[in-house]
Amino acid sequence: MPTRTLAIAVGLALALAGDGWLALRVRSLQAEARQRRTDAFGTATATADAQMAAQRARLQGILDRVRAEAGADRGLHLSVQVDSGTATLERDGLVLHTMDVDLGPESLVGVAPDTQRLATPRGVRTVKSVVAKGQPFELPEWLYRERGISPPTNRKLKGALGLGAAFLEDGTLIYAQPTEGPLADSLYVWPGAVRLSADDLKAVLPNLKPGVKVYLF
Amino acid sequence: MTTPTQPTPQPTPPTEPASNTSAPWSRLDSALTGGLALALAALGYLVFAVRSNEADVATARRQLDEARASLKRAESSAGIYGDTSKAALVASEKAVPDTQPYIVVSIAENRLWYKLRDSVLFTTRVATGTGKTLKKPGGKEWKFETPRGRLKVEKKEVEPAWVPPDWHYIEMAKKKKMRIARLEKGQEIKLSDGSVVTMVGNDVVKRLSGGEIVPYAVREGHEIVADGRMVIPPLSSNQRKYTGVLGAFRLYMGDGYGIHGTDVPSSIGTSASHGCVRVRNEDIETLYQIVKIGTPVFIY
Repeated sequence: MPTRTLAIAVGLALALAGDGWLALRVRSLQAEARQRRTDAFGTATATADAQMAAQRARLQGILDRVRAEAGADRGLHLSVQVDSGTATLERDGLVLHTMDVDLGPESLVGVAPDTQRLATPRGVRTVKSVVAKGQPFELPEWLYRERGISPPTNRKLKGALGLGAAFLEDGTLIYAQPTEGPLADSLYVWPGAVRLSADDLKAVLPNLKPGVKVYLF
Repeated sequence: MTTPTQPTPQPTPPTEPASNTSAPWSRLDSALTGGLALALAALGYLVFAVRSNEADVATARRQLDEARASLKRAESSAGIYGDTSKAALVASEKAVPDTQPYIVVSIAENRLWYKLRDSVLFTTRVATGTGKTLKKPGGKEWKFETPRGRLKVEKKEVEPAWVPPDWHYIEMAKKKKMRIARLEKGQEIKLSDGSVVTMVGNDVVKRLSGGEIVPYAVREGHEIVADGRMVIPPLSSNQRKYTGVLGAFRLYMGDGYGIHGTDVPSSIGTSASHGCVRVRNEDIETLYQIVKIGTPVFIY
C-alpha cells in the first residue's frame, strides 16, 4: 500500500474517531443540558411552591400571631375567628361567651370617584365608638343604593342599628340585624361588618366599651 | 545451414497493465481523501456543536444553581414564618390560666356557669341587677346593676344576714310614700305619743312614755315606721340584719356583691336584683359545696 494511501487512511480513521468521540460528547452534553433544564424546571416549580408556602406561612404566621396576642391578652376582648365565622368574648385567657357571626362580604361601595372598598379586616383593632339601643344613626347613602332603595332626604333614623352597635377604629361595624330600615334583612350583611344575633349582641355589647380590643384572625 | 531463428521479439507489453496496477490505489486515495474531507468537515461541525452544547450546559447549570438558591431562600423563609407561628402558639398556650375552675355570669342571659377550662361543671339560671336607678338624697343616684368584670369569691357564708343598704329604706319609703328618719347610735327619735325610738344595746327599741321598752321586730317589707317616717336603723343594730332573705348560703364577692339564694324564687331568670347574683336556694347549696374561696368570677 502506498504510503500516501496509508497516510490518508490513517488520517481518515483518526478523523472518524474524532467525529465519533465528538458526536458522543455532543450527545452527552445535550443529555446533560436537558437534565439540568429538567432539574432547573423542577427546582423552579419547587421554588414557586416554596414561595407560595412561605407566603401562606407568612399570612398564617400573622394570623397565628394575632390569635396568640388574643390568647395572651388578659383584658376583656372580643376575638373574631373569620374563617370559622365564630366570635368569642374572652378575658384572662378564658372564653366567656361564644357566638356564631355573619361576616359582610368584600364590596366596593359608593359612587366613583368617591368609592371605598369594605372588607372584614384581619389584625388587632379597638372599639372606637358605641351606638346605643335606639340611638338615631345616619346610614350611609351607598347602603340604600346597594339595597336598591332610593336614599331618603333624612337618613338619620332611630333604631337604624337596632339594639346598638360598635364601630372599630377602622370603621368596621359590629351589629345585629335591626327590625326596621335597610339593614332589616337576614340575607344582607353590611359589607366587611361582623353581624351577631340579637341575643349575642345583648350579651356582648355592654362589654364593648371604647378602647376594648377586637382581634380578627 | 539453418540460421538460428531469431526469437520473435515479444511485443512490448502495453503500458496499460502498469496503469492498471496504480489505478486502484489512486481510486482508493481519492475515496479516502473524499471521506477524510467529509470526516474533517464533520469534525469541524462537531467541535462547534460541542462548544455550543457546552455553553448550553453552562447556562442550564447556572439556571439550576439560581433555582436552587431561590428554593433555599424560599424554604428558609417558609421555615422562619413557620417557627414564628409556632412560637406564637406557644405564647398563646402559656396565656391560659391553670386548671382552676371559675364562675361565669352572663347578665344578658341571666345564667351562671361553673367551669373548668371549657367544661361546664354546673350551670343554672340566675337573677341579676335590674339596671334601674334610684336618686340619693344628695342628688346622686344608685344604679342597681350587677358589676361587669372579674371578681372573686372572697368568703363563703352560712345563713348570711342581709344588712340592707340605705337605698333599701329609701326605696321602701318611696314605695310607701313616706319620709326618712335616720337613727344614729346614741340618738333618739321623739314620737308624737311621747314615746321615743332609740337604741338599747344592739336593738332598736321603742321606749314608751311609761319607761317600758319594746324592741322592734323587722323583716323585709316591715321596716320601722315612726310617725309616718321610715327609720333607717344604725348599721350595727340587730334591726339592720335580715335573715332568710339571702337563702342558706352566700358566696361573697366583695364590695357588697354576692351570689346568694332568695326568698323570691320566681325572680330567677329575670333582671330583678339590686346587683347581687341570685340563684335558687338549692343551687346556692350546690355552689357552696363545690366552689372554693378564691374562685374567679367573670361577669359580663
